[in-house]
Amino acid sequence: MNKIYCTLLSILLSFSVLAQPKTYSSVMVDSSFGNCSFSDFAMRISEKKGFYVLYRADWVKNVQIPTIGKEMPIDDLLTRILSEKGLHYIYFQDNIVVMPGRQVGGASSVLNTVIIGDPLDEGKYRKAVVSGFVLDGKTESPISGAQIICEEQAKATSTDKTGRFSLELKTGRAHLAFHYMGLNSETADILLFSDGEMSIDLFEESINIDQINVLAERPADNYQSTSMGMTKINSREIKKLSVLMGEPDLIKSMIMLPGVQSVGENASGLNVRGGNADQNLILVQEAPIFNTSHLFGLFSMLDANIIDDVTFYKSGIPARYGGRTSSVMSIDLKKKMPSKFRVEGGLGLVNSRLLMEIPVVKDKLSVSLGGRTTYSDWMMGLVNDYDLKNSSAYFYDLNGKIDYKINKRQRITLFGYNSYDYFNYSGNAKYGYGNSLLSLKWQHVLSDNLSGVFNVNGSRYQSDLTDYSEQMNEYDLKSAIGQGQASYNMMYSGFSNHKLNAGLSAIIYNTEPGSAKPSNNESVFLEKDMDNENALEIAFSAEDEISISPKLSALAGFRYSHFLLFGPAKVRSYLTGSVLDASSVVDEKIFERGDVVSSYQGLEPRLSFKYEMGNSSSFKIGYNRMNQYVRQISNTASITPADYWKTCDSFIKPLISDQFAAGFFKNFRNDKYETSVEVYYKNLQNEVDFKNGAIIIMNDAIEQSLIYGRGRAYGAEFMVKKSMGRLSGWLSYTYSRSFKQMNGVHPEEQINNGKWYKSNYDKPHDFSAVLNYKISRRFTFSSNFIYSTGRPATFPEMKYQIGSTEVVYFSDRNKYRLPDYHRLDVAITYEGGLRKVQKWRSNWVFSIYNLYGRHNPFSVYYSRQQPSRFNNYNIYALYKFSIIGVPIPSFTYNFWF
Amino acid sequence: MFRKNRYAVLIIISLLALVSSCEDYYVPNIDEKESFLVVQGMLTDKEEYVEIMLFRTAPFGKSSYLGIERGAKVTIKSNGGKDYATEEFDGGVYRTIEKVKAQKNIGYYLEIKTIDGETYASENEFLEASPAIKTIELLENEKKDIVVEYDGTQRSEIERGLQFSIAPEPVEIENVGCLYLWEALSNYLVVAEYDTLIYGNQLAMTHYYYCWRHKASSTFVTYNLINSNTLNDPPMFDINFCPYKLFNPSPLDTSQYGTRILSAMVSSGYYRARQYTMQKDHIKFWENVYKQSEAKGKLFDPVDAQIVGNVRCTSDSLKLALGYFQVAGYSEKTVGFLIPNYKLDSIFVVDEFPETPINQTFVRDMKPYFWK
Repeated sequence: MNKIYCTLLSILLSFSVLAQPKTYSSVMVDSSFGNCSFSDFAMRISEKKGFYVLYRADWVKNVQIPTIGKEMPIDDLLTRILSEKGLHYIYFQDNIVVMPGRQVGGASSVLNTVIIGDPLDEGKYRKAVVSGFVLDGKTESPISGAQIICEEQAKATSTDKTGRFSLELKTGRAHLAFHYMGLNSETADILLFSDGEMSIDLFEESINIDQINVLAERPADNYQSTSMGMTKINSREIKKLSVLMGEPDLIKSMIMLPGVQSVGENASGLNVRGGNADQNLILVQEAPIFNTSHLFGLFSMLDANIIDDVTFYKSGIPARYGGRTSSVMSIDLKKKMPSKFRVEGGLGLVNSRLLMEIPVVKDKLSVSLGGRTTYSDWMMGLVNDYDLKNSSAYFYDLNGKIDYKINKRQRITLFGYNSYDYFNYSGNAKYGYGNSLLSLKWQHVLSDNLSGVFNVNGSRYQSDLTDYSEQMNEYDLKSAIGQGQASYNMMYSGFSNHKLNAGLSAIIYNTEPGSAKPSNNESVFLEKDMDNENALEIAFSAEDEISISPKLSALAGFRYSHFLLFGPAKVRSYLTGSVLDASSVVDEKIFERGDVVSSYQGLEPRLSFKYEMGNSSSFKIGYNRMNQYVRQISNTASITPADYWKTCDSFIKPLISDQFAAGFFKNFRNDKYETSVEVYYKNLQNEVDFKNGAIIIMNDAIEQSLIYGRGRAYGAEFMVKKSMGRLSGWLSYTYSRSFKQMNGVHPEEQINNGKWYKSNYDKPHDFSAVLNYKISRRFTFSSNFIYSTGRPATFPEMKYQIGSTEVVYFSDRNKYRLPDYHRLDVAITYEGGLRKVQKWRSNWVFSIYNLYGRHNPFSVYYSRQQPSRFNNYNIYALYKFSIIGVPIPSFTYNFWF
Repeated sequence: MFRKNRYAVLIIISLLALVSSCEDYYVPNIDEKESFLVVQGMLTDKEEYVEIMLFRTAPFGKSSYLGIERGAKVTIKSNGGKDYATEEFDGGVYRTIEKVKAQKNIGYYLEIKTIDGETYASENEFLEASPAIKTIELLENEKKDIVVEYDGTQRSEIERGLQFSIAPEPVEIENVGCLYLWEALSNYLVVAEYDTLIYGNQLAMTHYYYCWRHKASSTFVTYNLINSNTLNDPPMFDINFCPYKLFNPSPLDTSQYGTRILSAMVSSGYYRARQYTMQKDHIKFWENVYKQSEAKGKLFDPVDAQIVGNVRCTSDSLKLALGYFQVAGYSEKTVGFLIPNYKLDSIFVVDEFPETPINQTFVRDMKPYFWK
């Protein structure tokens, strides 16, 4: 019996369980249970009452059950006889467990208690570690980012990507709260004896119109998280974001956050805290993606339905990430394994999408397949513009995922993605670009406190452009970048006040800066090819999240990266002290395949502190350094198919960013309202810009067109969010500036005489408002408004004549600005089925993008042409080109079953 | 009520869609600037009258015409102790009263006093060592080019022609560049006859028309000489490709010749390259002018560049002045060639580019000296 008890006890106590106890106050015992030893009593109970009384023989050897005259509740009997012997009991998984010592607290607290560790260890340890998993109660899939809080001990932690957590607490009783956005919170009283595990299931909230949350993280994260400049949005929030063009849009929602700005109307990319669009690392399942938009920014490249959560860092970037200086956006795909065949889709006027989730082996192996396409040509027909009427555009994307849960501690995910965008502008030009991704991720738990993630992935972005505008000069321009990566990250949470994270990664870059050739036999365009580049970046990172005191915590880490550019390559050398141009070339060195052409290395430290100030508020301060070894060479501010990626080389040094940030975070009315103010200052080394008169595209001596200098950016970000209730949303305002200085020795190496000048993405004022209003159970209204100062531009100021040529005098670089950008979008969602048990669910979304038809400029360009009344009789004229200068209505039927 | 509003919204959207367009002529709100002085002049080591041209800038985007600067006082100053006065030769064109030849090691600059009382000066410029043109090479070549038909349609075809290249003499100088201009003279023979009545007999008279035609560069070519003190093997610069059609006599103005043209064929040609050697900075100025003149608002356009120059307003430092007064070493070379039947037959060296009779394009029945 002792053996049985021990076995049962060890099984019950060693594995993670959440007590859902019954009480046996109504269970009566009569004389047949009396006048016997405790072991006999326990045996009779199990035989007659159907539950166990578990005990350890040496505890109860002196316990004798007295004669029971009158039927009595078992509770009363046990309480009386055990307390006399210095014992007590608890209910545990429908059984009664005899415990040593006196009962702490009232009887009710015992009833809901989870025992962690071995009760025999009582009093042996002052502290012990509770670890375990937080799972989705519906699917048993792990939840990352769930909060576990022990308020009375001022301790908190969150689950990692595998859903695992670890928290050191004082032994004895403790109350834990488990939170996750969009799921019902749970609490558990625990009785902690020694290190042990528990798991908890969180279940979906029922639909309640009073609790529509659009917030990124849990409201309390705003001030509780050590990270600053970080926003996390999970799949539930993504679906509640403004539904434009029939589906929630991740990138557009990010633009609404303070410090994040759109590059321009219908332009791909983001400007984060005064950084260029190429300074953002966007990862899908750890694989980088180089263009995040379809149809020049009208749609995000990923269907929101396949996303589990998105974490976006503007500062306080974790040490495991690197390679870009402005921001990191990590997109994780659905971890939830489907329990049944599931289809989700949308049919719209502009685009359609379909996603299928197939459980091949329940809770073991699942497959999902999805895709989107558009038929947006009709949209062009709306525009009263000959060229756009004769234009066409489409895109498609396909994605597939295989999830295999090897066991409870190991999981493998294989993800593939392919997309292509096509835009034919009035037969004058054809643009195309595509992303391809393949990612394999292996998550595993090595021990109670140690887990790891291995990832190997490949990504390729290619773009092509065909210029048909002059038949005799038609050309086809292609460029591409490929990146392969292998990384391994480990998380350790075995120390009481530390959470450690360390990793290794190796990235292979392969850039194809360009090839241009005539696109028809008639064309006189001269074929040209630029040399490909092959490079390797290896990095090691380590980070520790330290709880210094209940109020003060810190995040300290570093990333060390080493970059190597390999041959084959031709490297020109120039006269010392001379401007780099064709005339100062003195030699050309040939590097063979595998030769190291150039190498760079750098230590990237990260440090941030959080100090909790009183109730619901905290002050955070942080510093991080980031190195960037690849850049996008572009003569526009936005990402276009004409741009190409280039690695650092003998002339182009890594971009180094040092960012200092501080913020004050305060929540009001039980986290109903969140507010934050963040300020930052960024210093950039090895900034590049183009010389006056430089030729950028297909220039295989690009170093002759570049000049090198420094940059700085600073700003203040303000945000007010309302997270709950019928009306939710946020208002954000950012004041930010971004400057460069190119002050070389020679006049050719200077811009604006070496003075600081506005960078292409200096947009001081940025305001955005996101509004969601639940009109009724069926109708939801959502709206976005965005305003930002126009981006800087260089315009001709005067015209004059040199010889027989009329030329223009350009202003200082970026002296002027494009017109301000503003846009209002609205959407109404009608929910179809509201019954909780309904197989086919659906909603209708009607949205209007750019409600008042603002002609936000995509670009302003000048061209030389015959003087006419249309250009005020000027040889040179400026034109503003807006891709979507009209309201775009969209009607979409979304369904899932 | 809701239904009514919904229709109203749809109608408004449709109307907005119809009135919108996406490419607009754009006039940015540019700072109002006064009209600035633009200077253009070049002094070379070839003794000649030097012309300085003065213009005025006009605001961009306004339909104002480019002005010229009249009534200014323009002087070429030198630190060799001699100044060269000018007089207004034509509207905005100032020509030295005497011939001027730039000397080595003497600095030259321009001094201008405009009618509004402002004074301007260029930077002191020196004559750089000027390598002579060592050779002009011409080779038969082919190039794909665009042909514009009479009806305006375009097609491309591979054209044969002559590729002209230049090699300067070896030099031992640094930081200089060359600006090239070229001109060509093609000679062609037109044989025509006409009927005449002599003593009652209708006779056909045949005449030989020795014709010529000039072509010149509409733009210029710039080259940087390689910086080296031991430039023993100077590079060969491709100046331009002249397709044979450039020498083609067609279309003929038949009114000038006899009633029946029996034949018209190209015979020979001359090609003169003018080389201006100047500091590399000055070459940049011309490079930027060239690039801007070639810009089409397309992807391969260069980054917008300010083209400033070396002239400053000395009476008001805030006032901008544009343009260049340059001192350049001048060198020219002419080569002659026979191209009967549009095939390069032979090349011959000539001392000078032929001077053709003024206001004439042919001589009848008498071969001019330059006609081969």
